[in-house]
Amino acid sequence: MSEAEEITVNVEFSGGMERLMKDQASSIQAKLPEPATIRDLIIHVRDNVVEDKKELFSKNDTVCPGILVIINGSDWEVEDSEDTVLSNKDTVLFISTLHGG
Amino acid sequence: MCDKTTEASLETQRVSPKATVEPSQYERKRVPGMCIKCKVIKPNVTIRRSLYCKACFVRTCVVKFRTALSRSRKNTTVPRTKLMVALSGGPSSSAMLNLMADFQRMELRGTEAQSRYEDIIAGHVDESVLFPDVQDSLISEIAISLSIECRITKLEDVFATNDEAPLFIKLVQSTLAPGALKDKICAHLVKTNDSISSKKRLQSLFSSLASATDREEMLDIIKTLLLIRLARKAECGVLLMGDSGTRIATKIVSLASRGRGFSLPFEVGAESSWFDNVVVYRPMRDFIMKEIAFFNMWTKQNSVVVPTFTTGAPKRASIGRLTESFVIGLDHDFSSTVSTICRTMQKLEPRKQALNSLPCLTCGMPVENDAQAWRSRLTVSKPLAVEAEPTIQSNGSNDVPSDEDGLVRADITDVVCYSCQNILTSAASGTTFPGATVDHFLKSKGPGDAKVDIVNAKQEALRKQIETFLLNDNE
Ligand SMILES: [Zn+2]
Ligand SMILES: [Zn+2]
Repeated sequence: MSEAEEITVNVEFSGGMERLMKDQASSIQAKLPEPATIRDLIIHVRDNVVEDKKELFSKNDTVCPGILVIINGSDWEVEDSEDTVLSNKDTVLFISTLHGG
Repeated sequence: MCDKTTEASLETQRVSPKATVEPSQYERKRVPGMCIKCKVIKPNVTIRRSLYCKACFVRTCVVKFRTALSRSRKNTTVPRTKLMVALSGGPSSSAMLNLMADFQRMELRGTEAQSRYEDIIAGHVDESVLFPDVQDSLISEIAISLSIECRITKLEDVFATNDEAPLFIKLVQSTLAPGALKDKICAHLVKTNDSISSKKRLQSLFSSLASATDREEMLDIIKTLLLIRLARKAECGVLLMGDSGTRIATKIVSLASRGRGFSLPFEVGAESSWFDNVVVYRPMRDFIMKEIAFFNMWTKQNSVVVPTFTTGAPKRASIGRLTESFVIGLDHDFSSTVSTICRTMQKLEPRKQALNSLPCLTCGMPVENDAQAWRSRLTVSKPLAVEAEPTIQSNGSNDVPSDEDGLVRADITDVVCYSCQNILTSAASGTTFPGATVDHFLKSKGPGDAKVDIVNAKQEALRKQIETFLLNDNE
C-alpha cells in the first residue's frame, strides 16, 4: 500500500444492508485513491461489493433514500453528505432503515 | 460501529442525561453550526434540518417518548395496570422497549416510588413458521438485557384450538364472475378437530393468498390479534405498538389504498380503545426511522432485521413496499412529508358509525355498513401487472354448499370488512382463515349495548348461528 496515494476506509453495513453485499459481508475494507469523497466510496461499493440488486443500494451515484450514512459515528449530513472528504482509517457505516430490508 | 475514540463517552449519556459531554473528537474541516439544544457542542446528527449533538439528541428522544406516552394516557381512561411492549425485535420496537424501561426506572426513582404501570412485559410474536431465518433467541435477549420479561406466542397459535377463538372461517368457494355474483363469498364457520397441525394450517393459509400484498396484510392482522391476546393473557391493560412515524405514514397511504380507510383511526391512531380490555398506544409515532437508528446506535441498543415477504424484493412487489419507497422518497425530498401525513391523521376522528360497527370476523377491525355498496363504487388496482389473476371458480351455480359435518354456513359478507373481502375473494378455495372475533359475538349477548339496532340484529343472528354450531358440535 503506497501511503501517499491510497487510503483505507472501514465500511460497515447493517439494518439489512449486509444482505445485499457479496457473502452478506457486514464489514469490508475499501482502498480508494486519494483524495476520495463519500461519493467515490458509494460508487466503489456499488460496483465492487453489492452482489446484484445494485438499484437497492445506489441511484444517481448516491445512496437510495432510506439508507443512512454515518461517518465515524456522525450523520454525514452534518458534514458535506456525498462531498465529504474521507481520511485514511475513517469508518463509514451504511444502515438501511427500510422495513422491507 | 463508531470508532474507538468516541465509544467510551457514549455509555454515560443516556443514563445521566445531564452529564457534561465531551465535544466531538474528530476534527472535520467544516462544521455548519452548533447543536440546536446546548449550542456549544458540534452536532452529530441532523433531524428535519435541526442539528443535535449526541447527548442532546438522546435526551430529546427520551423526552419525546415520555411526552407521547403521557399524552396517550391523558386521552384514555386506564386504571393502573401492567403494560405490554410489542417487540418484533426490529429497530423501532427495540428502541421503544429501551425507552419504556427507562421510563419505568425514572418512575420508580421518583417521589411516589411507584410507577403508573405495575409491570412492563415484552410481547413477541414468533414468525419462524414463515421466516425460519430469524433467531428468536436474539429477540428475547433484547428484553433480557433490559431486565424485562418476554412472553412469546407463535404465529400459528392463531389456529390453536384451545385459545380464545376456537372457530375458523373456511373459504368454501370464491365466485368472481362479474356482476352480482362478484360480492358473494361463501364461507363456513369451522371448528377444527382434525389432525392438521396449526403450523401446517398457517403455512397453507399464506400459500393460498393471491399476492404479496394480501400476505402482508394477513400477517399484520394475525400479529395484531395475537398481541392483543397475549396482552390480555398477561393482564396488561395497555399495549404499546412500535410503529414509527415513517411506518405510520406508509401504513396510512397503503391501508387507504387497500380500502381500509374506515378502520384507519384504529389501526394507526396514537391511541385506540377498539379492542376489549386492551388499549393500544403508539408512542413512537413522532419518531422517524432515522432518529430510531441513531438512538439505537448511541444507546448501544441491539435490534434484528425483521424479514418481510418482500425483503430485498423490487419496489413494486406489493402495495406496502411500493408505498414505503414512495413515502421515503417524498420525505427525502420534502423533509416533513412523514410528519405532515401523521399530523393530518391525528386530526381524523373515528366516525361514530365506525365505533358502533361490528368487528370484522377476520381482522377484528370495524366493518363499514354496506361495504358492498362501497365495493361497487371502488376498484383497487393491483401494484403489478404480472400478478396472477385470481382463479375464477365457475361451478355454474351460485348456491351455497349445504351444511355438512356440522359445519355452519355463515353469511359473512356483512361481517367481513371490505379489505378482508378482497383477500377472501382472491384466496384459493378451501383456505381456512382465523376467526378472529368469534369470541366477541359469543360474549356480547345482552341488551344495554349502545350499538345501533341493525348492528345488534346482525350480531344476534350471527351469534345464534355460532351457538347452534357449538351445540351441534357437542352432540
Ligand atoms: Zn447539544
Ligand atoms: Zn377485516
